[in-house]
Amino acid sequence: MTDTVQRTEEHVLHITDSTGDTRVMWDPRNTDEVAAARAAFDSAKGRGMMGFAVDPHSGERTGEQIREFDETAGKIIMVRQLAGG
Amino acid sequence: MDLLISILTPEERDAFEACNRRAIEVVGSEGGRFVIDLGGTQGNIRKLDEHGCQVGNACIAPAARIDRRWEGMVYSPLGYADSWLGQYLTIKHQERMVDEVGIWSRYRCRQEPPPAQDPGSPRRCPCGCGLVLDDNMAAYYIGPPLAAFDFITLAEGGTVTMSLTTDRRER
Repeated sequence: MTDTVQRTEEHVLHITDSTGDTRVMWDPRNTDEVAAARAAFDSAKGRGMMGFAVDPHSGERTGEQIREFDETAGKIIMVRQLAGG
Repeated sequence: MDLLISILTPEERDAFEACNRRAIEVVGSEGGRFVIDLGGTQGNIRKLDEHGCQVGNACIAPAARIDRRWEGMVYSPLGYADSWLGQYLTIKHQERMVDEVGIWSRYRCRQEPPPAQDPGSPRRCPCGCGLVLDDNMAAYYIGPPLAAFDFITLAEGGTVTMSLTTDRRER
């Protein structure tokens, strides 16, 4: 007998900083995971980073820059704000 | 680099592979055409006009100097791929920021001038965009005037034209 594992759509937050690409994954049905991802988003935002929601499978534009954590987003990427050099 | 590649559209990915992974061409949120050269992170964004002519390049990248409240400015560099990722996402979602924050260098066409042709026949932009040049071989560069280029003149209505006379092309 084998267990059936129900796979859910991947939800992942990427935070790119000097430590590399930190990934935080969550299941929207799991409140603890959502809270952890939201805290990571807010922390990065507090450090001046910008968040972008992108299609999990391609870069097609799926919305504007997001300023609040969206637990329904498939993939959120946070990058530092750009500066002229 | 995997993260950046994973979010490219199929068209962007095809172009990326076609140029041996040296650049990413992306259309901005305002419709502008940009090329991100993957040879560095400074001055590596080229802007193209609707004909494919390069009209400028921008130096803009995710900040490497971070202001920490109690520590002051600290140097906190990013990896190249993460910098390109930030450039790509900002162009794609906030093109206006690139125009407003970037340090821009404007360019003139670097192509060879068109060869002499029969009098009366139209001369066209050497880059192949199809624009017809006027009698002074001008009028296909559009951008803000730069003081260093005294041959760029501001015509009525704010149109900027640039002469490409042979004795000045190498300046």
